Amino acid sequence: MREYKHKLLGYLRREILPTTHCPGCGCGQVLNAFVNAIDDLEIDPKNIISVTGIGCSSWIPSPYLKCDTLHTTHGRAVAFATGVKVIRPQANVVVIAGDGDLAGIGGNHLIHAARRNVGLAVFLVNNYIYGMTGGQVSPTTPFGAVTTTTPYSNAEYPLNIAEVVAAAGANYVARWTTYHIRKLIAAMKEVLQKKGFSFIEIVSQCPVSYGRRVGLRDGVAFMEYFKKSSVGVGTAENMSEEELEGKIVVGKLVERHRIEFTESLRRINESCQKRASGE
Amino acid sequence: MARAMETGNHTAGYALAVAGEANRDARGCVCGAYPITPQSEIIEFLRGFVFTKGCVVPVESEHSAMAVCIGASLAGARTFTASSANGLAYMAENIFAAGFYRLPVVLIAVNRTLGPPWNIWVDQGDSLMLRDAALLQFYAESHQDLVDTILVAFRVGEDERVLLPVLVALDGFVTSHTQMVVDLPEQELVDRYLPHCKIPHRLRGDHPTTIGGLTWPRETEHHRIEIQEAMERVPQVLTEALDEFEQVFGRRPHGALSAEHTDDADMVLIACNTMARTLRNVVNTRRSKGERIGMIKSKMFRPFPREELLAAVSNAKRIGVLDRNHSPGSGGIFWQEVATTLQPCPDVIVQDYLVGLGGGDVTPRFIDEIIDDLASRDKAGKPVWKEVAV
Repeated sequence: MREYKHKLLGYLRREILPTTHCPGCGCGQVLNAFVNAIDDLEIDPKNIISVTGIGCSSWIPSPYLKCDTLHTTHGRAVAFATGVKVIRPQANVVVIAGDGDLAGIGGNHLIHAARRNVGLAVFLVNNYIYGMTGGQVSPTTPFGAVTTTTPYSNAEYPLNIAEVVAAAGANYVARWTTYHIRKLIAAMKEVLQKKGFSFIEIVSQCPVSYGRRVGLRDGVAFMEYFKKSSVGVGTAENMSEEELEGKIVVGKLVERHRIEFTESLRRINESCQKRASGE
Repeated sequence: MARAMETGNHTAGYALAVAGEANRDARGCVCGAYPITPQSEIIEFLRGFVFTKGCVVPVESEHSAMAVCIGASLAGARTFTASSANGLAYMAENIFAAGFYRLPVVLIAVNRTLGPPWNIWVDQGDSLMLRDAALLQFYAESHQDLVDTILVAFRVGEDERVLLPVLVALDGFVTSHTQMVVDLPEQELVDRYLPHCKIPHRLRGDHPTTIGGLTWPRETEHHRIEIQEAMERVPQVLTEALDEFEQVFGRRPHGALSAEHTDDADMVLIACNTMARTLRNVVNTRRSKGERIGMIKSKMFRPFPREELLAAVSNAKRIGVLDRNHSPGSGGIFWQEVATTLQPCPDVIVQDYLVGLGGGDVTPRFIDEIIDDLASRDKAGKPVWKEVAV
């Protein structure tokens, strides 16, 4: 009998599979989408440097993806990636991390890297919770939700992180869910070819640490919820704030063409050198 | 007393909760909270506790968690939080600030290895990294020791002769996630034990004050001298706090250090936390076979109890220090303190053993081997790496 071999398995470190993610988790879908995107674009994994933070979604590339990977401190992946990008501007520097990491403890780095327009591909996997530590409230947890640190209900409103990154000046911002897997792959391909800070908020599911406390006990329940709750950006434009309550606006939110940070640095440097040499 | 079977984390959470609640008729209590393994159950427990006057604020980082405590403490509240490993590292700037502001925040450190690479198991490098903060440090060996030490920590830290933050450490997983039978003191007794929290330099509208502005070297010198003097008053304040504890709760927690069988001992081993419990078993077994061996459970690391240590080891010829931590380029951090303290006794061999780093399980066999090594020495050598992990 022939051994079944997935066509994309070559991108992964087979010897350490299966992943540590829980049953029904969205992290596998994100990994699948990302590997499809780099395969479609024929990007050599040798030219990818992935940088992750702390949390379940940081385990999407680390250690499973067969490329250089920097598993960094909590929240700081974007700042580490900036250091990598300035010295390796031609590489595809990719950050995959979660809402607690990128929007919570590392929110400041995310805002400033977007403002600086550093050429990074940033995928924020938003599962509404600190999943790895057992389901504590995060900056994207919905108002009123029950978590292990909001046992009687969440008193805070969530951060619309994609809008924040868009306002900070990123060149590309989109939001998709793990239900919209084809659209997500297409958006990832756009991001991987785009210059400047490019960002996708991937709304994902955590049935174990979040879903079971809010009535979404498995991955399928989440898929149905994402399908039902998603509204395209075009449709959303004609909806009031009240009508958009509880909806997930999906699609491309922003596309700009500002000069990328390392390119801008290079031009300033060249102009200084010309001036110094008297040209 | 309510006897219960509880995890270390819930025991710590309970102690913080009743201590916070004991300040309900004054300015209440505040906890800035951020999750990190293996500490998260402490803040989860606190979030489930309904305070009469006080709240737990789930913030976006450890740095902010301590900042919330500092703000609340300056507003007059009893304050506390908990963290581990890199959470403590990230919080560190504000832990130093809490000490320099002279605020008695109680900080629970569930000891965990600093990363990267990531490791969630016990290692004391995280809390000992904070040794140069203006922060008292205690290490609890059991669940009972933990709940008692936390209550003592509020009493000592908030004493007007001290007014400094206090760290109480426990072993990640070994203590935090295991259950033991523990006496959880009832609220009424804790109310009797803990006076209302008074922060003399709290923010007051009738006496506007700027706290933390620019100073010159002269003021800085005075500021540091005052902190040192406060640290030097801790042994007396601690003794009073333990006396009072005994009167209220009917048992006496261990003090800064506890010397066991050291009177006739040629050889003394020093350890803290759960490693001290394993050491105690080994020492008792070997003593029953006639060996003159003793041990010291080192509970208070800051201020370091130099006089008590010197008195306890006055007859020892060989001292072995078990360090579950490592200062690269030097050695174990407890060993540094012990060796400095033992300077007046140049004939005593003080040997360091780095053991159980990164969460390696220190079983009696390894402690036996350490004791055999120490017994065979005619002089101290470099810190010994006692590898225990498989």
